[in-house]
Amino acid sequence: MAESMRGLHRTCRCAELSIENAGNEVTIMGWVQKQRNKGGLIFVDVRDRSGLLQVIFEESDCGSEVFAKAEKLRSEFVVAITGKVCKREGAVNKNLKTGEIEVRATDMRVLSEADTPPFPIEEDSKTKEELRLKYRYLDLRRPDLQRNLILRSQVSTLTRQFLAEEGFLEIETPILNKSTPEGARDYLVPSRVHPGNFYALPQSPQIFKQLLMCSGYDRYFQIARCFRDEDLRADRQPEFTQIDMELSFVDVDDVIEVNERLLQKIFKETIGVEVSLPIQRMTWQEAMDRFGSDKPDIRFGMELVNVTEVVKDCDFVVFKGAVENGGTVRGINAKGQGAMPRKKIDALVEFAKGYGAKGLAYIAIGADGTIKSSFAKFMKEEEMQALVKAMDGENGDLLLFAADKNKVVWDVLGALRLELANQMELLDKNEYKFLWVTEFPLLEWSEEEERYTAMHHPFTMPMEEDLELLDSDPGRVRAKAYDIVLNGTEIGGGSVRIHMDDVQEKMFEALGFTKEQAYSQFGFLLNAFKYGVPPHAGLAYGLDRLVMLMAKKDSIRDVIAFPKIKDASCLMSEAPNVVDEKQLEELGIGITSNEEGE
Amino acid sequence: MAESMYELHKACRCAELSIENVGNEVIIMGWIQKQRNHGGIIFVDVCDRSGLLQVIFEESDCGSEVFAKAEKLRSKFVVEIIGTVSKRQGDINKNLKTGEIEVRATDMHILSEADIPQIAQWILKQ
Repeated sequence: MAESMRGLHRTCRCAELSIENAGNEVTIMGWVQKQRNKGGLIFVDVRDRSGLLQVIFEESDCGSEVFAKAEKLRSEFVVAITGKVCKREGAVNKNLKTGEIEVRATDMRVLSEADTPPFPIEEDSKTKEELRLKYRYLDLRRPDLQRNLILRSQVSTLTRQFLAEEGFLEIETPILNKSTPEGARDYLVPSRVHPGNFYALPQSPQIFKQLLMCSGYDRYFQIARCFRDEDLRADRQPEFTQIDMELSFVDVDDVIEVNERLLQKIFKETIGVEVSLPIQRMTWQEAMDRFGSDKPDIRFGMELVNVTEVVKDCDFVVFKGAVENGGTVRGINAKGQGAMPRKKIDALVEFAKGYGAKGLAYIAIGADGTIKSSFAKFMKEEEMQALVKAMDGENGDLLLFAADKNKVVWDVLGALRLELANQMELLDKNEYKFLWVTEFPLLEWSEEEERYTAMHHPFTMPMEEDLELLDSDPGRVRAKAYDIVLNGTEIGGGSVRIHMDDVQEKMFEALGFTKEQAYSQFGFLLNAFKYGVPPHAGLAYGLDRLVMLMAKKDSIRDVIAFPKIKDASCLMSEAPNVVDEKQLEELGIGITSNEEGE
Repeated sequence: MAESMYELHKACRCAELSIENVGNEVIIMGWIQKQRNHGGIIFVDVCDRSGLLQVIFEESDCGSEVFAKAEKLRSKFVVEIIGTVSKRQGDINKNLKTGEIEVRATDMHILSEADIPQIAQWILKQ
């Protein structure tokens, strides 16, 4: 039977007590982690979000009635316990914040009884994630998840504090918006008042924050929920959170400067990591050439080497053909992997094919200097030597080469580099390497649509020195766009926006927009731009991913209280679900087919 | 035509200035609230989210080129103005946080013009 809490006040959380409180009378409230009955002595571990505390029941302290209740305690009962803090009589538990003490109970109330949970509430749970997500409210009791969500809250609080001190205003933007066809698929919300019409949930507050700049708010931020109805992909959530900001009267360096200090503060004050400023910067071109990625993990080397010049005259058709078709040949050197068994190398070749490679050429250098290679027979002895030298190949190294169009070579070797680093255990989660990637291409060619599309969005400012290329060679124009990368993950990105109408005009022309398209998608922004627009720039972080890296986790589900699974459903609430016929009728919606069936 | 920003990191907000800043060289950026041309002297009220500030253009301070630009200023243009904070020569405006001062402009950039801009014209002509 549950008892009332009346008259009782919690004095502190479990793990807020230490040896310094010895002798104090305290009242704690929490969940029973474990009860062990040793005859006349009952040990109870009580848990709350701060941690664990050991409580001892002895009839001489607490009387027979309370002792009898303590005998019946089981895991996950909610209890209120009054007692005295004492030095632990048994051995000190060094793994526990409260390992030097225990509380000798004098009184106890059972506030709520509990059924046996479907899985144990413990750190590093071995329970399958599906079961844990179905009972997420129990899963969330586990200390590791509690730590993650506490960390997430701290990150948000520090962000608010810092940005407020820097003159940013927190302003909310609408969730019910107009649908725009550009970008990812929108989540739609039917309008009851306007039958047949739909709102779209925001994919980002981009246009609204630019409007706020036009309206003179100068510096804005918001911790904003965003929605994208994307196809199934690993570790994506249909809704996610951004730390979104926009600043007026600034250029690239100003945005970077304030954000470096923000990151420094957050990392220092939550996980005690010192971020030394300024953060390294690298242009997009350099990142691609050296790492084959626009979000390089710079915790390790294994950089790409362009060997096109070295092999351009050889007889190996794969290399020669790629060069003749305007592509390149590049390689990476997996140090000390020369003895990799053939089977594992073949697996790497298959891996590379997954990234568009037709194949993967390799040279394995034995410990004694003997060379095993997939293409040695097509190469002259001195060509082979020159290639090994260009790659800094030493005894015991494994050299891997891709030959194709630049984009394919970068993709393949960039991915391969990460795969090898994983296999070679070069990635240390305790190391935090930040990098700004700057000067992204403004446009990328879409084979599908046979036109240029904006790499960031159509309002990204080209670099001044490339402005004239907008007419002649749009693909070469670099943008005032920047990403902040942490350990090979893009945690944020942004750009300076176009505020000059002649530039915006050229940009729309380069994108192949007609008047109708430009106006129907961005009409209210274009109109706002008629009335005086300040130069502005912004940046948005993916909060989920940022906190995931800080918590040293592999999935953003571990830093979201109630996440959805890969098919965008919630195992706990069972959303999405079929709704009442009457609700649909009100909305004027008829379901034509239901492929899932019932 | 819109111009680029210059030394923007030195800028402060309009109504952050007071009589204590007299003599300082400052950079402000904001929107034109009102422009009054009194021949030989142009009064411009500039505003941002902090409030209003009166700016004075005189050819002897800012040169003929900037003065000519100041003549063309209209409401809602976005500008960057460089100048010196001075005690107000006219009457103090008690309704204004910055009512005791004015800025004598030495340079100005128009960051954005208001009204039908080229993008709109371009869209209309398509």
